[in-house]
Amino acid sequence: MKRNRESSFSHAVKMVRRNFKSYMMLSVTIILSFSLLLGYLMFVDSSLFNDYKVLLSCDPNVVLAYSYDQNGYAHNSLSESIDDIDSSASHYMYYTSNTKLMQYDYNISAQLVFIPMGDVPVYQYYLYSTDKDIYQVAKEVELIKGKDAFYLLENEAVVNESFYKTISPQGELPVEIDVPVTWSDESVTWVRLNIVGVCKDDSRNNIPQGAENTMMVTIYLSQEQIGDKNASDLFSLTRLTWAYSEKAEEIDASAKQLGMISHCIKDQQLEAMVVIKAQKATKGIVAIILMVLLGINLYSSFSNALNDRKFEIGVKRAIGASSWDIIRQFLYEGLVVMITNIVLSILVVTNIAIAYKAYQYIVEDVQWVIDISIYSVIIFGVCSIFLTIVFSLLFAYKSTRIEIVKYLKAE
Amino acid sequence: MCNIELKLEHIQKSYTRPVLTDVNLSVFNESYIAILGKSGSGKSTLLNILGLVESFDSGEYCFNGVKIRQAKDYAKLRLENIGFIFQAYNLIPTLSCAENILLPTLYSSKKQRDFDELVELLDIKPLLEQKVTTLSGGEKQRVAIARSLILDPGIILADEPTGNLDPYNKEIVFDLLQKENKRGCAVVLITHDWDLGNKAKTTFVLEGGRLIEKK
Repeated sequence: MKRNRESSFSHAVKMVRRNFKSYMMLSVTIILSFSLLLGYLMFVDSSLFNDYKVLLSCDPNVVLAYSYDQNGYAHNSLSESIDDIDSSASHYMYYTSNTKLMQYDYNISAQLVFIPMGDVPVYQYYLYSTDKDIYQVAKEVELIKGKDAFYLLENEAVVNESFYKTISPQGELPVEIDVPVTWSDESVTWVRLNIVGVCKDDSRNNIPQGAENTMMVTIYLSQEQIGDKNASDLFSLTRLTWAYSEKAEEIDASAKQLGMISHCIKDQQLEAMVVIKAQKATKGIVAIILMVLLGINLYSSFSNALNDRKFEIGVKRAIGASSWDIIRQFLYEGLVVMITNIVLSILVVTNIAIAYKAYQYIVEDVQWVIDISIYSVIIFGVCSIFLTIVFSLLFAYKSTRIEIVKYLKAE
Repeated sequence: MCNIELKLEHIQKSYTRPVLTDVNLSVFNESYIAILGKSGSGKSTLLNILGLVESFDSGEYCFNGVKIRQAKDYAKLRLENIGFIFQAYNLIPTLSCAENILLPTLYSSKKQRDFDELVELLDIKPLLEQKVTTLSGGEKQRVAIARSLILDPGIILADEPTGNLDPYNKEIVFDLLQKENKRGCAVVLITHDWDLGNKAKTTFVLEGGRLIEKK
């Protein structure tokens, strides 16, 4: 029967398995503590990410300023200011007006968005709220069918997805519809539009609860449809100026000076970064506190595990194992136990996070994104490595403090 | 098998009271020494000092030419030269019999004795994969002896090796110790058993902290 010499590492792994009971409490302590630390870091990061993902994904150079002023003087002045502030800035003005479409089974309120001719990016404001604040962000309207840019000819239009499904259940393009353009004197001009593109629904297109026969639709059409009339004659007119510049804050300030409503994405993003930075400092402090608590727990758990092994150490020392042999064995055992349980705690936290994400999706209908920042990974990594090395070494050192004779006699 | 030359001169050791006052002893490969004495006379302490697991207060101890100092660990000397046999067997309960026997090889690159031959010699082949907790006293002691012999030591230090055994197993253990001594392995045996003590080549009684030769 061939018996090979065992390596120190495989002996240590075997001893961990055989002393599973002694390591139970220690393992539970490690898994709970590291799960708590990682769970806290992941929850904070994910909450921040989900709170600010819309805001931080917005282009910071976009300014969208609007006003209800009928004559458009403020917008003309803003246009001049933009050129003064940044001659390379892109900007244009567009209008919105409300109307009602009565020829369908629904009570349809439509927002007509008159955009200029040419290949222009179209942005819309969205209100979006976190636990702490409400933000107003400008997001580019996303085309999902038909045209791939807002380059509209005189009789062409783009509508939102849910409205498109109502008027074209077969999913065909183009579709013709007649739309009433309502003027401030309550007169109506019917225009025939070819629907040539479909854009994603936004928050305005949601049907209010208890109003199932109501629909809020958005129709993008060319400013050419205003024809010989003046934009200031449109019913419930809102004028918007879109600008794209690296000097977005200055343009935003100028718009506000002109009495317009404007929200600078860059400013809001900077405010969000301040909140995120404050959370970073809190995370560091919490990590240190958890590390100290974990350290105290680990010390007593390692001591308990070692108490169960004193006889074994005494025997091994008596038969000739050196201090280094014992240190090495318990160092390996400490490393195996720590690393295994840290990996288990990562799996536990990841599974809980996935379950929470599924809960958010199924019950709350929210796309909750699991996120962990590099900073948190570093905190967790430093805590794991530091505690693993320190306690494995301490465990190994304490293992050599065993008096051989005392524990041999104690069997 | 390695050469053994141990020399203890005027060894003293005290705990709360003096245990060893003036111990002088020489051990060579051919030695087969039994040390007898009352409980608490210091027999185990002397064996522990010989086995380099306990320090002494004063005197001189030379182990194969190495002068032993207090508070220094001589693990390598212990590992490669000494085979310990304990009354309480001191087998590690979480390991199987085979793993207990091979434990010293984990710490030494010294050529080990033929495992199969040793297992045959001690008649423990059916026990190898068993847990030590399932064994009888005699079986445990035979496994413990196999562990002490696996690195082919120059000296066996046996502390009451037959203390917990029935006459049949006592005889087996005694025969083994004699066989090993005939192979050139020194044996130092502590026992209460005068019959076993009288079978040794040299018998000492530890009395008043001194070794008194009886045979």
